[in-house]
Amino acid sequence: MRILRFAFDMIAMQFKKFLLTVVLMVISLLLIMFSVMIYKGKQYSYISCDDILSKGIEGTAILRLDEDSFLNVKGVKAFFKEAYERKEIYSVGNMVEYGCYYESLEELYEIQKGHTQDYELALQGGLLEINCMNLGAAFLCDLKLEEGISPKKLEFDESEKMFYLYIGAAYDSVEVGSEFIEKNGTKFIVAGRMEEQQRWVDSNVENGYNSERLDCSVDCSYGIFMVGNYDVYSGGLWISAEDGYTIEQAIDAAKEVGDKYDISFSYETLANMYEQDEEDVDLLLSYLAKLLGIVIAASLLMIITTQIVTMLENAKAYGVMYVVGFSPKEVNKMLLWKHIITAVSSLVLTAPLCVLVAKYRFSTDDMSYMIKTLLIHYVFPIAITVEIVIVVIMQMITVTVLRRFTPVKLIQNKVV
Amino acid sequence: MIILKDITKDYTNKEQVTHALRGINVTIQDGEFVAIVGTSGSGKSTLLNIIGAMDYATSGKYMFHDREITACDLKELHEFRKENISFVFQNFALMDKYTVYENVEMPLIARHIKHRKSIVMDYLEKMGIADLKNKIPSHLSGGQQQRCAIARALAADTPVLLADEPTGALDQNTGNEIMKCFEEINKNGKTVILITHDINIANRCKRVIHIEDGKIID
Ligand SMILES: Nc1ncnc2c1ncn2[C@@H]1O[C@H](COP(=O)(O)OP(=O)(O)OP(=O)(O)O)[C@@H](O)[C@H]1O
Ligand SMILES: [Mg+2]
Repeated sequence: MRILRFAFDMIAMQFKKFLLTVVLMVISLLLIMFSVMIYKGKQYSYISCDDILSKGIEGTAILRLDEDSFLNVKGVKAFFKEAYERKEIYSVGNMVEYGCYYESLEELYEIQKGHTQDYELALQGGLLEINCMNLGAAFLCDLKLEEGISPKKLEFDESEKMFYLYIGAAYDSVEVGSEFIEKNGTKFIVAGRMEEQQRWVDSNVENGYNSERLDCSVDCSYGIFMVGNYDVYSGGLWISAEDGYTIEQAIDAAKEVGDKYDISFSYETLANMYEQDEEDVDLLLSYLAKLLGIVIAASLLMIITTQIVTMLENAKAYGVMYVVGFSPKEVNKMLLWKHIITAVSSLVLTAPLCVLVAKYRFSTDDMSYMIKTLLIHYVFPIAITVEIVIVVIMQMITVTVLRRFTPVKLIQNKVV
Repeated sequence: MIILKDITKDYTNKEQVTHALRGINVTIQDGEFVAIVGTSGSGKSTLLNIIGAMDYATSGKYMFHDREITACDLKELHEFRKENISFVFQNFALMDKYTVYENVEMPLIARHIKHRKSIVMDYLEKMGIADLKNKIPSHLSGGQQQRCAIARALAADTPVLLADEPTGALDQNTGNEIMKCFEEINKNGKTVILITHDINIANRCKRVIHIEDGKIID
């Protein structure tokens, strides 16, 4: 304990140099953390997206309807229906999150209240957040049901007034098979309840894949999927290829069907989007790597010289410690404490900064997910390893320098 | 028992070599009370540093009882010092950031001694600086600092006490008090070796070693 106190005293004696060292360490650490974050975040993002989609990133694309086609309501519906039947296409459809108000769904609203994924809609209040989709979109990700019937077996009439609901695990008080009927005759049938672990692809991915979205999946426990005979809500359609076909073949098939109903679209595969994003990220990483090299080399050099200077300036104190009977081991221990305190201080300062940077870099609704996965698993361990390496270097250098001098030299401060 | 055999010490400063000690041969028995005298620059401090294992000799052999100090590695030297030596430096070597009390407490901490307060206060009183215990050394006069340094050396309670001009900064009365203190611990069986310019102080010691130009003269 005494040794620890001496370590603190030594720091207090040269507080400015201590601060300089801490600042240098914070800067290097932050850069390292940021690089790891981006590098690892990219992988996380990719995996989360690849995992959640039934056909993965390689097998999925986004079609964007041209404006005329978008307004061609009948054509789009027919297009959906027929395209979905094509052997090259596993799923095709439109999916949009929507805040809506249905009197008959009050019960669901009461459960969902405060648990919506979409912050803005929740703020509006009074609206039930529903993920509306065509039948074809219901296969975009694996829908796993606790109970109920698969979307494959759903039957639709042409009335456009019947919708099937797939509800999240949180709605356990709502029975599968229940029907809710609006005054205007619109009917909702609860077709199934999803498993507790059910997740779904974040509908924002539709606007472009981006590794800043750390987790491309969203939790569905409070989610409600409404499968119906919709026309389109947004210009983006999801399409995925059946096993044995490439996404390009699936798109070609969709084009054929589109031609038939005067539906035209542009497209972009997720793999393409990913590559585009990867190029950007890699460019950023390459800049970061260069910057890191310079910054780390410079700060390491400065940290080392600062340590040596501090040590030499404190030479008398070390000499006195030897003379009054402290062993080299105890003096080294004190030095080690001093270095550990420095390292821990810089870590303590960097960690919140790092979380801030992460928050700024990644758009995620769930900070705790990011902290738990990216930060705790990769960024912090690497930062701690770096810190340990720095402590070891500082310790080795100071101990080696200190060992070169006899107590007399230290006390007379004849070391420089 | 301290036995020095052909001890030499050279200081090398940029090509220039100073032969501070040129073959010292001396034996000091346990419990002796020795004064080292000599002109300034004759090598007194250098000799005392070597006896206290604060510095390496250039050549020669230093035996302490059965232990060959000149053959010890750094760790063994530190152990030897901790067990056997307390040292009063010519420049006091006090820790500027710590109070008088804390400075005197340090050898006790290093030796893991509990209930330090009474011991520390005891030595501070003996040196007449108990009322200065909360001051830091740089706020003290030279004599007060010297007494603090002596109190610290005494507190270590080792078999050998080495003091480099312990009364140099003191008036005659205080010097006498300090000498009484040294005589008392010498009576308790401890070896006391001190450097002095003061013939009166030297005469109070049981043995006087003269050094001139790095050699002992009789
Ligand atoms: N660190 C050193 N580097 C170079 N020369 C030194 C060093 N220390 C002492 N000397 C030289 O060694 C010689 C002996 O010095 P030392 O300090 O032992 O003398 P001293 O007898 O204690 O003198 P004083 O009575 O003035 O304290 C002197 O010539 C001195 O200049
Ligand atoms: Mg001297």
